[in-house]
Parts: sequence; structure tokens; C-alpha cells
Amino acid sequence: MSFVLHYLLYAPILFLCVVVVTSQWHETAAASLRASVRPFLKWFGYTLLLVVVMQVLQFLFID
Amino acid sequence: MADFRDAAPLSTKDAWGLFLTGFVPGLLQIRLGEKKLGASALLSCLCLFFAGFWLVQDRIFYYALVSPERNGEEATWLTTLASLGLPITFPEFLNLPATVLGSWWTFDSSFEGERLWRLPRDLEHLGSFLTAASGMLAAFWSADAFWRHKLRRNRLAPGKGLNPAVAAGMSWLLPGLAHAKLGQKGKGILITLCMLLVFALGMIVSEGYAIDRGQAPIWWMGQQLFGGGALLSALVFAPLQTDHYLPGLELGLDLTTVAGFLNLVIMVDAYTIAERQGLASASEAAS
Repeated sequence: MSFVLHYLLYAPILFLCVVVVTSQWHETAAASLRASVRPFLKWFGYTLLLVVVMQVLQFLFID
Repeated sequence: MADFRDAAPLSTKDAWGLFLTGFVPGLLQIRLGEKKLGASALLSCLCLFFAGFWLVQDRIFYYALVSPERNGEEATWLTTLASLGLPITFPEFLNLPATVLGSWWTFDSSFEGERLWRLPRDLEHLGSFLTAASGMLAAFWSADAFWRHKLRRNRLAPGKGLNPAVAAGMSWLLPGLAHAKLGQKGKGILITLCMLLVFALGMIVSEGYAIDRGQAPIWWMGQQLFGGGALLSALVFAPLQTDHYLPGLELGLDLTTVAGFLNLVIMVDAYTIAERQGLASASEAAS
């Protein structure tokens, strides 16, 4: 449960960070928001994958 | 707007020269023949630093990344540099002359002296913000000199529009403000909202304790890159006394530091937009 809650908090913060970074290559708010969706999904997926790999490693070698 | 092409790109040697002269506020302006401006840069950085230093004094050594602590042993090259405010009391070391002068003036290697660094001072949050602000101000003066040097190199006179260094300074205080001023109002508002949300969330989960230079000086080096937030904390939140366990403190430290580093991206972006507009306007005026 705690894991899901952390991820629910992490997702909007990651999106806000991606918007700020992506806005460097755009001049309007709408273009920045549109361009942020794809990198957000990409990084969200990467971090989810990383967390899953760490959980598996923990399950195999620590628990 | 006319396209701009740099007529005389910097060599690596010149770029290093510009970078190093940037550590002495006003030096590059003086080298460019703008003596009054150079003197103003030096004076403003010295005044701001010593206004803060008057409050914090040798407590500044406690904030350093590398401590000049000697524990009664012989000084090494590292502790000697640290006693001069070097290698890193960030961002004060960007204002090198004032930092070295203040540190040299107050450094005491005795056991009693070292103990005093750990003692909180009255109004230290405000004082340490002011000394840090002098470092950031020195960085903005250097950015101004770099901009003037670029114009001079390309035989251009300053055109209309916002000075890139001022744009970066405005973004330091309130992210998105310079973007709005530069004509990107919607993007500016979006950036402000994103930044303030990340920062406010960090402050809420930590119950207002996340930004405190006395308690977490290393984190503060990143947090102060959002100058407006660091100022607000120095005046309102940092003097709070911790009297209970804070479960959200680590998350708050993370979020406010992330907000600081995001603001570094915003400052560079604001500088770049202002520079692009300024060069296009100066080229148009010249042709």
C-alpha cells in the first residue's frame, strides 16, 4: 500500500519536473504540456521498471 | 527578427579566461572599459556579503562542504584553503574577494574557535541568505559581463530588450517571471505553477522545516538556487524550533532541492531566450 501511495505522489511530481525541462524547447504553455506527455510516460516506465528490478533483487537476495 | 551568427566564436583559452575573471565581480566589466559598472558590481557584492557576514561571522565555516576543522593537528592544504572560504562554501565562493576577506578575517583554528562555528547565531538565517545572495549576485554580474563581451566581440551595440543577466536574476527570485517579461507569458505562468507546486509540496510534507541552512547546509546549496523560496524560508520558516519527529522531512528536503535544481534549468533558459532576442535586435539595429 505504501508503495502505491509513494508512486501516486511521485507521478505528478515527475510530470511537473518534465514540464519544466521540456518547456526549454517550446515557446507556449500548450506546446510544452503536449510535448511533456511522451517523456513523462517514458521516465515513469523506466523508474517503475527500476523499482520492480530492485524489488526482485531484494526478494532474491535479502528477504 | 534577423538571424544571428557569432562572428567571432570564443577559443577554449578565452572561454577559460572569461570564466575565471568571473569570480571577481566587476573585473570583466573593468577590462571591457566600463569602469563605473565594474565598480558598482564589486561594491554591491561586497556590501551584500558583509551585511550578511555581520550576522553570521565565523558560523559561515559550519555551512561549508569542506570543513577547515583541524582537530588540533597541523593544517593540510585542504584545511588551509577551507579556512579562506574555499574550496566550497557555495554559493559564497562565486563572490571570491569578499569570501576570502571575510573568512581570513574571522578564521580561528583554536578548539574554542572551532566550537563557536557550531553555535547558532541570532538572525543567522537572514545573514546566511544575504551572504549566499552576494554569491548569486556575483554570478549574475559575471553573466552580464559575458553578455557585454559577446556584443563587443561581434561589434554590436546593446539593442532593446531585457539584459540576459537580469532575466536570469529575475528567474532566481521568481521562476517564470523573466519568461513572461520576454513575451512567453503562458509558458512563464506554467513554469511558475510547476515550480511553486513542487516547492510548496516539499514545505508542506516537512511541516516547514525543509529549508534550514543551520540544520541541513549541504541540501541548502541546492535549495537556494530558488532564491525566492530560500528568502521566504529564511524570513518565515527557518527560525522554527524542532520539537517533534518529522516523518516527511527527508521527502521535503528532496522536493525543495529538486525545485532548486529545476530553477537552475529555468534560469539558463531565461538567459538563453533573452540573449537570442537581444542579439537578433542588436543585429537588426546594426544592419
